[in-house]
Amino acid sequence: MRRFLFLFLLASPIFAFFISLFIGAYHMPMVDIINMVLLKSLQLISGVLAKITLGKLYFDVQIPYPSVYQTVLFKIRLPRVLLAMIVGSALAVSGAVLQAIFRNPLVNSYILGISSGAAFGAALAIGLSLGLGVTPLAFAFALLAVFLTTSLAKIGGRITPVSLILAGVIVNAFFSALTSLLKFLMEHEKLASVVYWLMGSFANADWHSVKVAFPIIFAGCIIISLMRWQLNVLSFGEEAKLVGVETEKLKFVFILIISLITAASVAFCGIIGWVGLMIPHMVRMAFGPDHKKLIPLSISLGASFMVLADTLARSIATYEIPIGILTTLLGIPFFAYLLRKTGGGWHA
Amino acid sequence: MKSSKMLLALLVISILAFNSACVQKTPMETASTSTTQEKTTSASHAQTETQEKIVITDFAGRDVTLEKVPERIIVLTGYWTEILHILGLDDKIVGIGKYVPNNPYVPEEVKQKPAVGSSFKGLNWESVASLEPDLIIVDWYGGKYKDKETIEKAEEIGIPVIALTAKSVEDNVKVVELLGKVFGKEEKAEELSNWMESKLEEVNKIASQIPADKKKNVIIINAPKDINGPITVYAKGSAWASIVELVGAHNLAYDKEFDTQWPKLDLEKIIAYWGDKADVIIVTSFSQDTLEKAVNDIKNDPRWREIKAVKEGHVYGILAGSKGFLDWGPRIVVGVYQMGGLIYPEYYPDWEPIYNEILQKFYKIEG
Repeated sequence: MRRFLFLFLLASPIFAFFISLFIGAYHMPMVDIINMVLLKSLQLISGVLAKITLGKLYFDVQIPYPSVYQTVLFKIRLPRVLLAMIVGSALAVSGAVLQAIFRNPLVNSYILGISSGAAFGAALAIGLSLGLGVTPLAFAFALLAVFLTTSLAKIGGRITPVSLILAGVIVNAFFSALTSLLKFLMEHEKLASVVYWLMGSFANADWHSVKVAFPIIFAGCIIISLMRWQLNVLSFGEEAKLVGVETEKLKFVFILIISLITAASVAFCGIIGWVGLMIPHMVRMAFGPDHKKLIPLSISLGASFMVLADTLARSIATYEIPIGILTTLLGIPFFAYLLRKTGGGWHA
Repeated sequence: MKSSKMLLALLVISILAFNSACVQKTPMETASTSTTQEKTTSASHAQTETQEKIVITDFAGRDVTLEKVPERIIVLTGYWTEILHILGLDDKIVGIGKYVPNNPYVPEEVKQKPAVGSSFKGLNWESVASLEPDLIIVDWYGGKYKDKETIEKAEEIGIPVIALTAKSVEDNVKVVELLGKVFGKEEKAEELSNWMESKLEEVNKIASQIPADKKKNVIIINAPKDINGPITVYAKGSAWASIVELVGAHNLAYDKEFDTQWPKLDLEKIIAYWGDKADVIIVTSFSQDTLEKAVNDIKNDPRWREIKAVKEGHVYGILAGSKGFLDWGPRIVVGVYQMGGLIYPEYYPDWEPIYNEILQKFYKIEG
């Protein structure tokens, strides 16, 4: 039974993906969507075949649907669904990893200063109209913030859980103050876009953002999955050293990967909270703290949860509901139920 | 020891500062102490020796009673400053909002006045008090920003406040009349409001001549930071959205119920709601560069081409704010003609003569 549940949850992104692809403001019959997806897949495959065989094997696949259908499905809805999924994975897995290496159930990747750094970068890009995009600046400042946090937290060549959290608090406060200052100096029109950006949203997803974010996050998730047994060792804390593990180096590698994937997420869709904390805990409560299962499940559940929440956000009303509000409202009842039932699952 | 002395000194200084800020003359006191100004103001029709109280209802629905004609005004936004300028009240303005100097129609000497903050982000109350105003003119955004706070704080201190807003073009005319009444400048105000009314009457005439089969469906959006979305649409309750209806077209955003007058939508929603209906898309922005870039991006984006207006090439930019005419205040009349000309070029006259007329007649600037 538990094995079945595990496999079902691991495969849940596939179901979530199709459910999300079927739902949207622009109404298209489900059959048409399935047909279009199949035909598009055939088109792509035949394109690859033609490339490999140097044009000898060439099938001309036509998609007999109005162009507006194809635009909405492939150019607006699909990139949005994909972006939501990869960002959900990134945030959830980052939370799981950080909670392991610092043996603290309350941290997520925003503790590294990523969110406030990215917010400052975005505010700078919008406020100064430098002609620089919001995304590159948000990304750059997110990484700068992580660098500051880890430099501050490094005491005698080591980063302890307490020093990291304190350093994170300092860096977050510093960038938040700078962002507030920018907001205060900004004209109203720009202020409104900064505030909206900070709320987080997938409304501006397009293929460009998927093409940039996907490789970074996919690679990061693969590496973390391959290294996941190390997390079990790291979560022993000081005892890991006795086994001869280079804990500091490992921590550094993990923090580097997490910083990259979280920064990529935040840079494209703003600050979406709560997922990095909630998803890993849910998995722990259901399956215990073994990272062998925890990491892959966090990746899948993060993706499923985020994409379903975003689908609600874009289809529940005539306007967009900020996604951060929904992730919180949807997650809390379930999270609370699991907490009552399992008592946390932290020391299973 | 030393630091405790410093602290004490600081405490004393701050208490003194606090007191000096609070002990300012209330309007009541100034009215009773200065007897010199009493009879000079309402020269137009002073039937009695005593000052008449001025009683109005402002745009936030508040009943405001002024003991006498205000002599020291703080005005927080440029467009209402323009009206004060036209009414000849430049010398009565003692303080301005942070962004008033950005408005090219505000005279230089008014731009030099001390800035006390803005309606959006709140005021520095010490500066406000030090200017001893007997009236603050604020914007009313329905209490969404710091507008409500500003009004409450001013009431607490005892400075009269008038809150103004424009949910329609007509509201701007009403503001002119209201300010005329407050400052005893009814004659000049009437001249301006009549001019505005007559121009809007002409627009009504033109709009009624447009045959039903030529009626165009329009959406107005704010130039998005990123053309993927989210895109701000001007819907019911926004003055700019109402201009579309005024010039005889139909604003498609009126067909849907939204949570605010400025809902944010993603591209899929815009295509789903209006993709096959929209004949014209009007893009607005406060900056010319942003505007041009947005119009260009929209025209060249294959996804936007699924919208009828983009496919047919009817995407137009219109500059908003004090550098353009899509703004609150008297200039909105020019904005109406501009919008009319963009949607129905064959029906509406050129807006430039109307702009020159308002400049020469009221702003006294050679355009």
